[in-house]
Amino acid sequence: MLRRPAPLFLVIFLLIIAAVAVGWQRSAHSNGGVSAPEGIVYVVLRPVQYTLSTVGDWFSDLGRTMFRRGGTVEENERLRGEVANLRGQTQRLLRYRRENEELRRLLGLKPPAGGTNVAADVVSLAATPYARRVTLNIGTRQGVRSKDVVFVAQGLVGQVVAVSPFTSSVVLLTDRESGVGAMSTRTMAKGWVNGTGARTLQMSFLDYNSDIREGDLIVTSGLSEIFPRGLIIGRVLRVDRNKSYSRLSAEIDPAVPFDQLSAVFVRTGA
Amino acid sequence: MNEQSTWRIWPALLMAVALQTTWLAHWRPGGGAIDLPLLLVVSVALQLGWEMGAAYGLCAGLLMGFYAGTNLGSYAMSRLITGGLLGLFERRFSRDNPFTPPLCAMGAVVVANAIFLIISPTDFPVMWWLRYTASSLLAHAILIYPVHWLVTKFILPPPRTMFG
Repeated sequence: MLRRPAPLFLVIFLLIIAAVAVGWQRSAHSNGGVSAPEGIVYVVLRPVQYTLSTVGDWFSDLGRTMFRRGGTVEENERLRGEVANLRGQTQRLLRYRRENEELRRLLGLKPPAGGTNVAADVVSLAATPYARRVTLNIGTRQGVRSKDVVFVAQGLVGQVVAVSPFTSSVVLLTDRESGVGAMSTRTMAKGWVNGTGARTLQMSFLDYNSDIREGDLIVTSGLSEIFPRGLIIGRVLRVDRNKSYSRLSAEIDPAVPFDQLSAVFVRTGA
Repeated sequence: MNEQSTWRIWPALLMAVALQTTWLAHWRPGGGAIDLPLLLVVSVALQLGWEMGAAYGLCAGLLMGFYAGTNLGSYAMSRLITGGLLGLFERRFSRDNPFTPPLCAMGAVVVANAIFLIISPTDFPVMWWLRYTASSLLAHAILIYPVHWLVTKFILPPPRTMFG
């Protein structure tokens, strides 16, 4: 019969396990990877999470369809109009793009960073509100690397921070440890947008005399090497001008519905 | 001799983490959040004592930390201490008292979140923390009943006796 371990021995043993796991994770994350225990857990739980997410999405879609059935015809009409409008815009943008490429070539400017957009499903979300992260169902096997940019049609989602062969961990823009160089499209006023852990974002390090107003569209400034210029972040909700400290900051309403993320694009090989 | 079979608590924890990182991550009752693995830790600690409570809490914390991708040590230590402390109550409270599970669940939420706030390297605003913890209490006090029932009936069923 097995003897029960002595209390002190058990406590020390558990503390050693915790310390090893933390050290292992830190070392792996600093190289953009995941530790072996993390990798094993991700592989084991991924099919279960994928099934749960799929079933959840199906029920969610079903509920939406049932409750919004009356407005489907009107919505279809409106969307048809929008599609026709966007088709026209796309044609114009393609023409401008060709023109832009030609002008850049004539001026001898370096071409913008390339990269491929890979679609991915969100298989899991961070377990507690202390962190705003998601796990994707693609990893190094699909060419994803640490620091790859993640986005959706509405705008910037975040950045890949750790990759395993089959999964990637993405820190969302709303996470407290997340940040990106940003600017207003109206005045080009530059600042730094960081997550608050809540639904909104905070734009700080703005010049006190900058012209920034409620409703301004905020996009990535492209000053860092990671995030390309022009990815939509959100709109200014409220401007906070602190005269005592000559400090200007703004609350940003993110363009991406972070609570409803189910599929994203990862820009790989940029 | 009839030893209680405890192996089911481990797949149950994995399932709880899978549920936590999918369905329950979307659910924010009153601005708080449900922590299903923590509720399992409470229930297992009340049933099996402080040693298993601490070990189970450590595993739950590590799994939560893996999916948070940060503050792994804070998750592990907060759950380990909570599991160990609640396991000590096993000897002081009657497990059959209907008020024990909700009181322990609320205590676990406060203790785990307080330890997390103190040792986490990330700066969390205290007011936000207070609001979040307070709004999570009631949901945990209610949800501990089905969790505890599942644990006592299926995950940790009482050992069969000679006549049972």
